[in-house]
Amino acid sequence: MDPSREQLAALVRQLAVTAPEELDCETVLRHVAAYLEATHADAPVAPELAMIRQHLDVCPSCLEEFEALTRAVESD
Amino acid sequence: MRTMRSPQRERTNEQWLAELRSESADGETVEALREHLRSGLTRALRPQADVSDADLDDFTQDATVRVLSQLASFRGESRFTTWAMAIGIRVAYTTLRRRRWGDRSLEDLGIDADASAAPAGARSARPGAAADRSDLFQALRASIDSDLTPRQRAAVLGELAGMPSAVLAAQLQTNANALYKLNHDARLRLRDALHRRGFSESDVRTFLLEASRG
Ligand SMILES: [Zn+2]
Repeated sequence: MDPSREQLAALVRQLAVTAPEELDCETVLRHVAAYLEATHADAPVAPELAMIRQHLDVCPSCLEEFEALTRAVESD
Repeated sequence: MRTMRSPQRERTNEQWLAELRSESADGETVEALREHLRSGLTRALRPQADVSDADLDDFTQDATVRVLSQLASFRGESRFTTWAMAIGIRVAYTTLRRRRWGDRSLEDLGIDADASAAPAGARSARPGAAADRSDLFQALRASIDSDLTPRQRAAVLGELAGMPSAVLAAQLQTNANALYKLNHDARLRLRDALHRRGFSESDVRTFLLEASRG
């Protein structure tokens, strides 16, 4: 497979924020609710939760689910 | 005598847990959880044209079962309802992605996860070249070809092609966490390889800045 320019651009964006230590998708699922609530509150986001943001920047699936979760809790 | 109660009665996290643990599958709190998941999934999946009411019923049922099976892992870091919704969304999207992807394999995408050698085609990048967009892409293509293991390459290319991670993990005969690690190791290698090929962090940032301007 020869990746397209769009796919390569997406990969470059991921490489730019790739960190030596990252959370995996299972761990993100356990904490993403807390992350969402922290971002909605005006309090600063705890360092553990900052790793969630980093994961969302490198993982399109978890980002898609985070956006869906945001829609789901809209009128809660 | 039974009094009428709103299904949306507010519960604390502790009440949710205690009631869900003690109830049978047709209990009032299980029903409240099901309603919560259904309405949240309806909002979450609103932009998806290929989700029917029957799908929503199925997702809700699967999500309810999953949440009930994972009560022990709830740590109380958030509202119970937000945590449950995150699980419900994972359940729904995993099914949706599989369905949309169909049965296409890595082979169908032209990705060989067992190849011992890099694909043919010498791709050279000029070391020290300015971060011209096409040069960066050329270097990245060359690095994918020659700086990754076959499995790392398959993990990166499969994800770029949009293959769902559950499908990709099965194709590589591994699990989701090991797949993530494979992909993470690949990204670290590619970044190092780009540096070796003369593209600095700031070249990459310049590229991203230009790309964001269109
Ligand atoms: Zn993820």
